[in-house]
Amino acid sequence: MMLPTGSEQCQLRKMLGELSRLSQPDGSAMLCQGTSTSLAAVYGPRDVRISKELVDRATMDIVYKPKTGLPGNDARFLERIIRSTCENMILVKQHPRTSIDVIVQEMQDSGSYLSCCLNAVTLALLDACLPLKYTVAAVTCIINREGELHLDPTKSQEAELNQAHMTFVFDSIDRNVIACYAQGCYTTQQYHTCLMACQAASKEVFSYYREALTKKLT
Amino acid sequence: MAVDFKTSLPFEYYSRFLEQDVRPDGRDLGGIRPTTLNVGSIDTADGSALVKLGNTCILCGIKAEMVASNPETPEQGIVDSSVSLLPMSTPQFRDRPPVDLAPSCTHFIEQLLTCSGCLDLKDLCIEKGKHAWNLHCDLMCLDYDGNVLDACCLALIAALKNTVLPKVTIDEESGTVKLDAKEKHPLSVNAVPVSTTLAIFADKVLFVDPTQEEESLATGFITVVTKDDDHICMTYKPGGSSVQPSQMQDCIKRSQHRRPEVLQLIRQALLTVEAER
Amino acid sequence: MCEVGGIGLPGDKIVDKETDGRIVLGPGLRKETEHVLMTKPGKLCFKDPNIYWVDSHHKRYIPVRGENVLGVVTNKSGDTFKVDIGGSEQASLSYLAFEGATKRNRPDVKIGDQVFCKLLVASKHTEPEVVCIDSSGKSNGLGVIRDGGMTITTPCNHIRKILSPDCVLLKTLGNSLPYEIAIGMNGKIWIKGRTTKETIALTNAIACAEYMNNEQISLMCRKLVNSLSGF
Repeated sequence: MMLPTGSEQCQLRKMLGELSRLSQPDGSAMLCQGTSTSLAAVYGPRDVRISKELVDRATMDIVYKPKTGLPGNDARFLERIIRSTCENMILVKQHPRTSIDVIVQEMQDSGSYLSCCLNAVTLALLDACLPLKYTVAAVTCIINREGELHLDPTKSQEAELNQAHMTFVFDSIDRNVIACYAQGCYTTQQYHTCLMACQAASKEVFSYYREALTKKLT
Repeated sequence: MAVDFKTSLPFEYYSRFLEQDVRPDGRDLGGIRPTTLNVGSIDTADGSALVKLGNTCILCGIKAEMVASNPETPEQGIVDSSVSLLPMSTPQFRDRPPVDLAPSCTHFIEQLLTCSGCLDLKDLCIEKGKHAWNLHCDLMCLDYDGNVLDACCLALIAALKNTVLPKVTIDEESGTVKLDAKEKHPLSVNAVPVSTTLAIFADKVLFVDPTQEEESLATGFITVVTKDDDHICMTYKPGGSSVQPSQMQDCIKRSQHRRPEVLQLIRQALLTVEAER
Repeated sequence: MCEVGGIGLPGDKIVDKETDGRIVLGPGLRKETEHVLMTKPGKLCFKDPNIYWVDSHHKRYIPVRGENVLGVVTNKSGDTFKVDIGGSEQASLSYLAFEGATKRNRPDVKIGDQVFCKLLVASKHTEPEVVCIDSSGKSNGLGVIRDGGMTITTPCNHIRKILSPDCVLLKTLGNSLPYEIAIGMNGKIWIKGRTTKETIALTNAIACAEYMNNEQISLMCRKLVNSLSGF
């Protein structure tokens, strides 16, 4: 397995975000990673429907809206990953009998979209100031046909015949794996190399969060 | 006494067992529930399989339909799959299952079919640009007792291996298509993906093949699908507790360890069917 | 790692100053094993002798016992009113919790009225309860707000800033423009000047003071008074 050599391959695309983009939600963020853009909004803790009420924790409601058409199986799959990640990140026990609603709108998918959505959601949660255990950072990478590793691939890179496509989500305290979705055909060794490369790159995402929040709060 | 303890403090009940590296149903942490596989159980389908993983019961039926080729991919056939969690399968769902569970299982199975390369879509082409097979893979959960993904994966692969397609003859002059129901040929399955799900308990203990009870107490899941002896085709961990990279490696190792057992199971089930023929 | 006065993110460990090891944790902090971690993004603050908290920026109000809030009556059922105070749940307000109210002499409160009230019960497990009297049965400024004025909504951290003793905004404005004000910790401010024109000017001044420091506020107030008097 070849390790990334060129500087372009092991760098993330430029991240650009805007907090409190929307006036009505309690927290919102628009995040561009390269040209992949997603908009996330958070409401909560707000009132919950009796049928969904949980006595010991907040109910999480995640909605993913694709750019066109109705949400399909892939949207539900994405929602599930976002939900379980958020449930673990938010201290849900601090707000029992309430609902925390997260809405993610697809704006432009030009590669590594799962990461872009998860990072936008994290920024929106930070903007809404919900109690969190830690923040999370998602990084996507691919192994192309030649066996080279590329971080944060674009849509055209993703569309090629790649060996594998992997997305990892890390927490900010120990940099452990919170979520992972890796598909293709790869060996254990390749998997581990990708995991380590993404873990190293997650540092950039975390420092971006810090930069964005420092700008907002001062 | 034990029942009271389990009802009132399910988490503590489980912790006590796991401290001793054993689970309440007698399995150790790496133990998989007794699995039975029955193929060809539906006569009317072109291929079918029934999997019982402990109490979890999944039925998979495959129906091949001849359709006009998709103009975008004239040389390929079409495969679609769906997973339905029937309301009768568990009291938990009552009127309807959680909105995202069945669709995300379906997406998982769809992705599994594409990235494992178990089917070559070109094999499903009958006549380039005109006719192709459309395989409908329907997976139904009859009894939900945890770990549906593994059971679905096993049922799907066994059913695909069991699938036979009728021979098609095309009259060149009139262009009419004739299906020969007597002469059938089996579908070629190029890879056998085997899925293994592990549950994370209390942020640290990992055990395989969780039951529904264990799923409700677990704080996260990891599913690893192996493609062959050294390759993995999918790793899926939808959030939940965090794990160290070394633990992920451990999960992969465990799934590779499980692979021969499952292969043996499929082989045996297929042999019994052939013997009956 | 986050030091006092710095901006931290959730999951950051806080650096303990030289205290005797016993510290009091305020909002936005939690203890996990032997570390103290932040749960909200914001500025880490410290007050002698040993109190730590995080000053964060949020729009959604989370009810806290004893805080004054401005709410709107949304429903009337039996002997309680329901008041929307902007939290996750509506607060209940007993009709006896008004100055001089008895079973015979019910207070005149209608749906849609704005009330300035104090949180008597606020716990995450129960419905919040508000009252319009203090412990001695006097209204003490609380009650239904009727005669005109204007209400604006701002983020909760802006309210804390206005109410902090260091902030010169309310004093500076009051030097030249007399006004009446009710500030709810839930981000709602009701204000009334002598004329409608003055009321509007005052609300604008309060709303735009969010990102200003004391000097800028004094300057802004001076400009405002000048323009109001026609210079």
